[in-house]
Amino acid sequence: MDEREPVVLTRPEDLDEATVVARAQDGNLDAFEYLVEAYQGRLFRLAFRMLHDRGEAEDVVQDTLVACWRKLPLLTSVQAFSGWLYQMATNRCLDRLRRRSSRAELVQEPVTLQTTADSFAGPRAGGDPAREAEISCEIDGLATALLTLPPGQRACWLLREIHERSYAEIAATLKVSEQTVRGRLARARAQLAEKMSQWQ
Amino acid sequence: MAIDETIPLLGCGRSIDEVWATINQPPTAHESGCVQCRTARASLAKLAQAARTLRDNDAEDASLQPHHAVKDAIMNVARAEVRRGSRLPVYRADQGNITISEQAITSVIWFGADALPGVRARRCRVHPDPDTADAPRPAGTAGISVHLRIAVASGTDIPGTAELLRQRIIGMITTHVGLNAGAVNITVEDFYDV
Repeated sequence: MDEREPVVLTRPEDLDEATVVARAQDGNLDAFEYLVEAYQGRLFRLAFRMLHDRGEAEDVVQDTLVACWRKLPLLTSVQAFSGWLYQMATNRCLDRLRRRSSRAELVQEPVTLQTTADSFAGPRAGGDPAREAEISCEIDGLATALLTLPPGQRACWLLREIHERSYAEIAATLKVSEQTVRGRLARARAQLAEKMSQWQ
Repeated sequence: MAIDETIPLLGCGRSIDEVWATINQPPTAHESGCVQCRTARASLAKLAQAARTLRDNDAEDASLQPHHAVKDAIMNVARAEVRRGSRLPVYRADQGNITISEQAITSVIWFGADALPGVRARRCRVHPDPDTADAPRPAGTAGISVHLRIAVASGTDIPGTAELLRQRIIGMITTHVGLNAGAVNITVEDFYDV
């Protein structure tokens, strides 16, 4: 018997993301699972803030990552992976909001949103109750104001301010010009600032 | 849509974008003296702070993650639809054939490459040699060609590393798979920081 080394691949966490993506493209399940772990939280937070519905946000994450697995071999540039994934998730959110549009979108009052926020872990302020209340107020005010934005503006604002995507990436994600992204962002900022000042 | 491209203007004629762009800098002489600019700066600064709070809080909030059943469902689909690629003939005789999945060979190649310092193996394609693909053959004599894309660490000696990698892949395929690697084509597609 020859003494062959056992075939044990380098763990995905010890590789750069582009290499992990390439291996997932070739069908490596460990690499794909690593990408699922890395992105499911980010995509969930985007979908939750877009849709304000935990179940729908989970559906978006699942649909997006299953589609990712199926379409991954077709992705030509491994560096484009992150933007490609955000594009699929954002479009799924916008589709769901379009389907909801037959009825006016429910905009929850701050008191209802507070209840929703309280059911989560809640803000961290190092045990300072005054700061915790302030943080909670900021989050609730902004989250409620976000729900009043048109979906295209909401997507632009979340991708830019929360997920720190570039203008060019947002333009590619939403298939609009960078000038349109700038316009939507400016309008979103003006509206959010106005809404927040009304509540404080 | 044209309506999306309009940028809101303040009463003084400046755009919200202009105010936003310098929100972290001291106000200009105009901004200090203009009521609209002062109001806009104050409310945008409050928004910027709230956005930071939302971003930091959401990122740390363990409950703002999908339920673990979501990942399970995704991975169940992936496992059910696992891509093994085509199957390559290892042994072909009148009595029957033995084949091996392309992915199994790819794993051996990745493993071989991972052991070399400064090399990370990416996409890999293997093909049976065309001149012997359909002919009967005893074990260990089938040939394949390999096309491997790699990233290398900055400062790597590419020609020397590529030759080492080529020899290692040929050795690994012979030892682990029982095939002969004819052509091993290596493409350096990227650099990574060590």
